[in-house]
Amino acid sequence: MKRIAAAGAAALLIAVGACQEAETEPPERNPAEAEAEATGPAAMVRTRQTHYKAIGKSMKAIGEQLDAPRPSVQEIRMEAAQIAEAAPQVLTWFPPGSGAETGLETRAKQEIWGDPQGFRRAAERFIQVSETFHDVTMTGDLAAIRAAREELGGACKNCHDDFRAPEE
Amino acid sequence: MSEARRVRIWDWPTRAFHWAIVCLVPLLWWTAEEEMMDRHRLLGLVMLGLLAFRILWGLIGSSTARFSTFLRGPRAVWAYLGGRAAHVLGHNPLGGWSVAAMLAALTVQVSLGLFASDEDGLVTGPLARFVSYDVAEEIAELHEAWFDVLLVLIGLHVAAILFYAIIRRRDLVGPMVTGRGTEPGGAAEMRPAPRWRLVLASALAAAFAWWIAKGARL
Repeated sequence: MKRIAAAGAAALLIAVGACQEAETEPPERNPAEAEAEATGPAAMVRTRQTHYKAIGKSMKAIGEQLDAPRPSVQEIRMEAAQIAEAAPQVLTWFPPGSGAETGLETRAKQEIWGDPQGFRRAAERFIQVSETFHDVTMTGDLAAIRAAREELGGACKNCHDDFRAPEE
Repeated sequence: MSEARRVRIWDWPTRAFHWAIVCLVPLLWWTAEEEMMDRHRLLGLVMLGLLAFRILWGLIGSSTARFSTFLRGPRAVWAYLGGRAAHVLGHNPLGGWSVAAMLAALTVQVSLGLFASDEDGLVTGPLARFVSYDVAEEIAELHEAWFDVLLVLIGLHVAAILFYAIIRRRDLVGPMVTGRGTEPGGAAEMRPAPRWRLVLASALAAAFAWWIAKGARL
């Protein structure tokens, strides 16, 4: 009887001890956490992807307004403003070391850092064209807005063709 | 045993549809590969119209084009596989279901394309306005992946045609070009559909594709 009691007490102590151990042990790392904790250049990967998606959303919204029976110039103007605001930030989104070497999924090609002048030119074109597009939306002239949107799409493509890798 | 005779099997709308698809699928693939998206979109809408036509024709067209003729139950398929085929003009029970599978797969592909968007929000299907940017992007990826399903079905289709040509010594391509083929005999004749039904099906399919192209606005 005593031996059973002793064994039971030992088992209980071990169990409690084990629980304590589990509480103080750090949780297993998951990739999302690792990413979130990435500092420096690697953090920029996620940031810029979020911004680019937002630009894509704006472009989609603009296209849909233009296809609508009664396009809302106000809506287009709002989206254009957001794009024009994001454009100048592009050059801050690609610090050295934020390419494939981060181990994160990115379509940023090494040419961005291999041909910094070319990249800068493309980024500046985007800034200029997105500003122009925003200005055109202020006129309310739909025909002009459509034409300017074509230009803007061209500016996107211009950079992507050279500096963004094709999808897998 | 009745003698083999040369009879009409496929009417010209069915044949025209078939060969139009044969041209369109590679063109659609090519325009997507080469990022000629305006043309891809246009051809996709043409495909939509053709599929709509074929489905209508499958309901009101000539006898061999109708789903009710060539879509047979499991017993008929089993009998056919066991070599106990009844003499039916047109698609055999197995072929009939493969046609249905291909039409369904093509319909899925076109439908996905209608709602798709590229990641830049620049190239969008006419119905992408109904879904969010994220969903449209997902759909674009599905649209791309689904093409592999089409390839498998087309591959099986071509393999079957070759099987008939080489093993069974039966030419199936000729009848789909000329509309006429040799029938073992005993099968009922093909009943063509009156012209007004062709006009009706064409008009409805075209109107439907046009409506979708304009964004399906009510």
